[in-house]
Amino acid sequence: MNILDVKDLSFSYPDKSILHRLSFSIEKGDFLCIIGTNGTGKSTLLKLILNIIQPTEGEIRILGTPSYKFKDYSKIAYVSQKATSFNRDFPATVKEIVQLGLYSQKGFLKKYTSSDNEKVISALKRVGMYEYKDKKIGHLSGGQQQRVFIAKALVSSPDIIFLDEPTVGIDIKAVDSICCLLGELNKSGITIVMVTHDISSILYHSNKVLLLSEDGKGELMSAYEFSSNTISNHVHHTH
Amino acid sequence: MSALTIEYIRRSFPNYSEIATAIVLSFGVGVAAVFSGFVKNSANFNSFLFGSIVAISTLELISVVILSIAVIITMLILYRELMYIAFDEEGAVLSGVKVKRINLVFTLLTAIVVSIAARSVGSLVISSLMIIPVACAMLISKSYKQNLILSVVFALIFTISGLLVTAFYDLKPGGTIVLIGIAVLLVIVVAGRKQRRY
Repeated sequence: MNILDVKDLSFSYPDKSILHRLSFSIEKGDFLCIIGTNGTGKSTLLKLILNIIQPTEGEIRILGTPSYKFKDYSKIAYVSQKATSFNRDFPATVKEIVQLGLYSQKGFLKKYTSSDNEKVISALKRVGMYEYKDKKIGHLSGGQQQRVFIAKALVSSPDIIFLDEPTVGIDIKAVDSICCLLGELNKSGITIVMVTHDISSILYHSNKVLLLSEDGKGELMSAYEFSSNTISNHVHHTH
Repeated sequence: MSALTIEYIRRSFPNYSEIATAIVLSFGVGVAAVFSGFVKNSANFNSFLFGSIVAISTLELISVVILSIAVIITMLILYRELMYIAFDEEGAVLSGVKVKRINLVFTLLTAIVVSIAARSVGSLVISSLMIIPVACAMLISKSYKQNLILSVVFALIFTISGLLVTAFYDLKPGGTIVLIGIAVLLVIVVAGRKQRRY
């Protein structure tokens, strides 16, 4: 069973078509980068997959279940683009933010136990942010905050993590460390689906690339094919 | 009704949610201003605008205590959900939080609290009484949980000290409570700056 199936997916706003009969599938353990120029529907595609918005037509299945029926929230995690544009005065500590990630597992009115605390500590150690657990989230750098949001995504042990441009607004060194972290998580078995403009992560860490074009269509290829096409296009344009 | 209308407008203007409060506030003030022309005894109107410690009957006081306990219990039950929605509403939806339902409950709680407090502190200063204790808490709290507790503590301190001053000096309770709150906020801000300097 594929971990994600998208079939003939279309989406349009009243005045503009964004996606047109897009189809692709990914398997468990894949690291998919979704790329394209601005306005090609990258973030829209993620929101459609997560049922934040509904498609005009087409079908999406997550772990075999139609996305609109999918309720096993602990199996998926989402790091949104808004993750680094939140209110920096929000008075929560790193640990409290990561604990929020447990809600998908625990649900309403369930008491948090010492084992849940262990999961939070383990997630923070995995992303290298354990020593900052009592610091307020707004006092961290962009790269550190992004690590905390990844820890929040990890704490419920999801099968698949969706990320929407996780390296926007952070410095190059932090970008590199975030990409390496995602690469390690992928090697440990977690499927990653990431919207990104960052070519280095595409070429080095991912195994699949979905290239969205302005006509609303998309082409799924291996990272190697993308790399070969990118190099040959670069050579073609410079000669 | 106003609280539900604010919530409905907030959802219609997700990027300009502060417009909702301004719209409903303007409507309310407009209606009050028009109706005030038909009221013969304006002293009662003053007590609604600026509060009055003698305006509360014993029965109202008992209702206030019961409603306050109900509000506190509801907040404790929904603590995690409210924190998640405040921090990341989209993430909360994707984690299974029943965001619409909880926003509705929160809106109703807010309406209850405003209705309770408006009689004693006055409707003009009620928004300040909701904001200033939280602003004070945010400057000194070390976590979200601590922020919540300190907000309640500050609100209690401002209200009780404000009412005591009102009783002794025959001042309007709403204004007195808010001015005490602002004084404390300024002290915390100045103390915080001096601490950072040294």
